Amino acid sequence: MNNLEKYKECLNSIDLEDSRKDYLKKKIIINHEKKKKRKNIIYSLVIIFSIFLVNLCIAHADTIKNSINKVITKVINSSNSNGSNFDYYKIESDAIKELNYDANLRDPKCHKPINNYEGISDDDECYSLYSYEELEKELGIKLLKNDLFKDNRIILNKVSRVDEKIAYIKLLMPNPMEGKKNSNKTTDVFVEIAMRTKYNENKNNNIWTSILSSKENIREYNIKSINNKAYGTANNKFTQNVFILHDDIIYRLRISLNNDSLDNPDKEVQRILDAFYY
Amino acid sequence: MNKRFDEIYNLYSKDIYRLIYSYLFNIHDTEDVLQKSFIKLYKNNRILSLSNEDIKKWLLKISINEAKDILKSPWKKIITLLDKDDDISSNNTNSLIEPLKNIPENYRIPLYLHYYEGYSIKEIAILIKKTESAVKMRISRGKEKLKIEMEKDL
Repeated sequence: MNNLEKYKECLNSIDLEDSRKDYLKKKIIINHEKKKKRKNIIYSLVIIFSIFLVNLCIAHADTIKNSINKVITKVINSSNSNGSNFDYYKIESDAIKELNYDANLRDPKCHKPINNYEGISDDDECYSLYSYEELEKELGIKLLKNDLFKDNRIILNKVSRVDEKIAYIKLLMPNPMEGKKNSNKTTDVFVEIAMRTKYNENKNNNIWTSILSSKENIREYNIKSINNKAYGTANNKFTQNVFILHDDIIYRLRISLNNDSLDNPDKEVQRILDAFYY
Repeated sequence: MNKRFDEIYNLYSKDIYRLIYSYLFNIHDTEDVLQKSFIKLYKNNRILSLSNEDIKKWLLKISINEAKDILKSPWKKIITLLDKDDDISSNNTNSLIEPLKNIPENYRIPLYLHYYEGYSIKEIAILIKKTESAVKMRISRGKEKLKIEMEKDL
């Protein structure tokens, strides 16, 4: 017997028994079915996860879009006195705040213009003065606070009711940073806080509008501490209006910049915004 | 198609088993390769519609690749010694294959396909994705080694 014949004989001795062969066949079929099932489960999970991700992205995109749309509105075909047409942009808010609609607030007795806390005493009935804590407790809401505000008194400027339910509230903080009057060395802030409820019927209660000729004139600030955006418009070189829509309450800060900040107004505005916390 | 699979399985499962065992010399790995190869064939209508000979070539190609993957895996390298011991003790009856184990891995498949299955050098080159000259060289060196081992055995 030559070597190749011996080699073949060796190989012939390697045999798969029939019983083992049948057992392996069964295993092959079972494994195939298992694999198919597992594949289907994985495909289903991938599809479910993809749908979830897409929905999440859409929802997130909608939230962002809604929050921006709530603040910036395009007003088409406005015309100026010369008869020319322009696209105007308004900064406003349609937010509806949920609060204690039956809150027992001390209504203001007068509506004099307020530029400062000067001449306003705690027992002055003309102005309805509150602390943060009192207002938050009474209305069942939370307000933004700011580390740079030294005077935290809040003036209830206006409260409107419909069927005895609170429909609209406007609060003022005339000079919380205690800037010196008529001084160019300190930055002054005048804060207005407004919220509308579901009972609001007055369409003129459009809160604040700041009409701009271009969307480009709206500056966008990020307030990391409250994970919120703020929108700024400049009235003139010295005054910036900044709007914050947070938790369905709109805040307007009229910031009169000190002389040192005129070269870089954004930095001073951002400093004030970064001091907000919730 | 299940009928066709049964037919192919009955025809070629032993051949595939023999080829892989003569390459790996391990029953568990051989059965794994056999299962993996036939799972790929099961309900693969495109392959099952080919001629028997073409399906056999496809199965040989797939199982050779699967077997090579097993040898390449780092885990396999670690447990080789343990496996060898286990295999020897469980296969004392088959002392005939002992000389084959000394043939280098590279030569085992070309030798089997050429001398046992009767494939030409060209066909083997396609099956194992090597050039014809490389296959020719492996067969000739393998034959020399085979001669030494068979004579040693005597």
